[in-house]
Amino acid sequence: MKILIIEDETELGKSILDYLEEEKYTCELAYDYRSALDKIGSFDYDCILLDITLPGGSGLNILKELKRDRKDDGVIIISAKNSLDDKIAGLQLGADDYLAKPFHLSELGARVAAVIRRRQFSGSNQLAFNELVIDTMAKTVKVNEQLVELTRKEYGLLLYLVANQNRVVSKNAIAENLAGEEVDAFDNYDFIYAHIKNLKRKLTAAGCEDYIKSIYGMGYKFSAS
Amino acid sequence: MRLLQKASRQYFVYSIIIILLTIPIFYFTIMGIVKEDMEEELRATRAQVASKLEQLAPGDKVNFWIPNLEIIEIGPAPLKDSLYTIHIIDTLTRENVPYRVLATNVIAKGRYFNLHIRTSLVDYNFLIQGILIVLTILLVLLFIGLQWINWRLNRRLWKPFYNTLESVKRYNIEDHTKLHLPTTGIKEIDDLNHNLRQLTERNYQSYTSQKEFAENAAHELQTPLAIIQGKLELLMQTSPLTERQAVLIDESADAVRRMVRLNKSLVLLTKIDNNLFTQVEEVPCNQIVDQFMDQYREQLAKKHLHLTIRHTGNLIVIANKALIEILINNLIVNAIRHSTENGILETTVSADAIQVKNSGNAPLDIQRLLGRFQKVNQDAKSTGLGLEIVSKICHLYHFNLSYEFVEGYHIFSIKMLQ
Repeated sequence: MKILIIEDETELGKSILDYLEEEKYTCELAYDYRSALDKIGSFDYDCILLDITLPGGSGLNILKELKRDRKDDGVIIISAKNSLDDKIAGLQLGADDYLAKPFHLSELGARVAAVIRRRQFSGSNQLAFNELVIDTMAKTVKVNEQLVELTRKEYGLLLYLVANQNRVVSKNAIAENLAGEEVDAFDNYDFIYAHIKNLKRKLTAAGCEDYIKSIYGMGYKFSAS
Repeated sequence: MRLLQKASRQYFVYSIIIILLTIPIFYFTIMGIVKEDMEEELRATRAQVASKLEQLAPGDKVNFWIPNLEIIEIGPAPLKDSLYTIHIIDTLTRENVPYRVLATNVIAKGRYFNLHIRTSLVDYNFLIQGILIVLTILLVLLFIGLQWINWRLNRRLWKPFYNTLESVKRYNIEDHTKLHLPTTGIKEIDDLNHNLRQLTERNYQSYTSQKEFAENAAHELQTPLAIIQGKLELLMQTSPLTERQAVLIDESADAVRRMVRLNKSLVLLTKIDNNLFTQVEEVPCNQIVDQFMDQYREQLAKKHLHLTIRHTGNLIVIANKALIEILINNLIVNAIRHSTENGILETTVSADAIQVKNSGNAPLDIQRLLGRFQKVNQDAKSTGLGLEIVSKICHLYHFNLSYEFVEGYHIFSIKMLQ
């Protein structure tokens, strides 16, 4: 999996790179408009993370360039502007997703995973982790071929953790992902604990190993060991 | 007291004093003149009578008659001259008629005569009365006329001042319009207007520079915040990690999140201020309320709030959907956050308004709350910007936001359609 990070803020670019490389993605960084265009011209990427405001030109032009060359790299716009117009313009130009800064790296990880999943398979879309199989098209979860009934939120939570597997996902990131930006006004983590507890209970009851681990109350980690 | 009243009142008091003083002084002056005149007349009559008495032959009786005169011959015991007023009943009209009487002596050819010469005061009294009435009428007319002219003149003189006052009252720094004050040709007013223009201009400049500063600060903070947040997440991935380190990271992450949220709110306020939400559509409010309430089920349950949603009408507004969602969301979040436990939360959507009612302890100081960073309690988790955003959005769309506290319930109402 090759990912291009186009971000003029070097520190942010490096953080994204660090985080995504742990997921065994191969990442490259471009800090300005020109080098971004060069990289896009020379290589194909599975996913491009694109900042809109770049030194030397607008990220939206890079997007236009990509579409003109009929490249089907997945594109996620990451913008500090958080303006609806930018979002609409980007999505109309063919971006797959839009993420406003500041974002959680785990949120970005989940979005990247989703874009790559959509690009890789068309039709059936299965995500397997040992005995656990998630069908992202049908939105179902199976343990040892047995269907596990999950609520919409539990399913979203599981998918989020699996997409960020082997990394600690902070409870802030989970709260935001679970409840959406508006609801997170409450800063109340009780509902996360409740959802995690229910999810773990349902999975272990179906015979799944307990992969979800709490890390010092700081967050959760989905991992085999 | 208005300026015009203040000036008129001074004139009024002065005029009244003058009128009250003038009339008696006038009366007594005229009276004095009349009495003097009368005395002269009486003495003239006396001289006439004296010359007639002089012509009498010795031993003759008084053989002439003059009206209002009594002559008695007396022995050589002369009276002193005296002048007085008496009242005599008129036999015809049966009225008490005042007379001025001169009692005097005349010595003619060795004979002593005692004279009582009278003259009626009735005519003079009528004259004085007439004069006083005319005088009073004149004074009152003068008084009314002066008041009226003075009032009109003042009003015209002060008109430019009132115009300026009205303009200053209407001036709102957030409207981005200049204070329009015409040149009047009156030096003081033009001076005032000139200084007011300068003052508002300076205010506007400092207001915009402050606003720009806040905007830039909020905008520029986004990237460093994103970096800190990212680095903290990476720090969480490092191992080995002690529990103490984990707690520190966790607490930092919470603080960063609060800052992120605060910053988002500030950016949003800035955008509303700068009118950047131009895209409008028909927004169905009933659905939005239902949708948010559904999302907040967990928070409602946690506080054991009894929720009622009433739809008494279909409310559709032409506005920016994102803003209306933020408006409704902030109202609901606010209500849930400040409700007492086991209380009620009641939302009513009618054809023209939304009302959110929730249990509370004491009324809120709404003017203060609508300002920036005002918190009801020391809830570290609220940014204190929620209600300001609500009020900004209401202002933008000319919605009428009102608040009351009735029998233990906070009631926020937003009238969206007029």
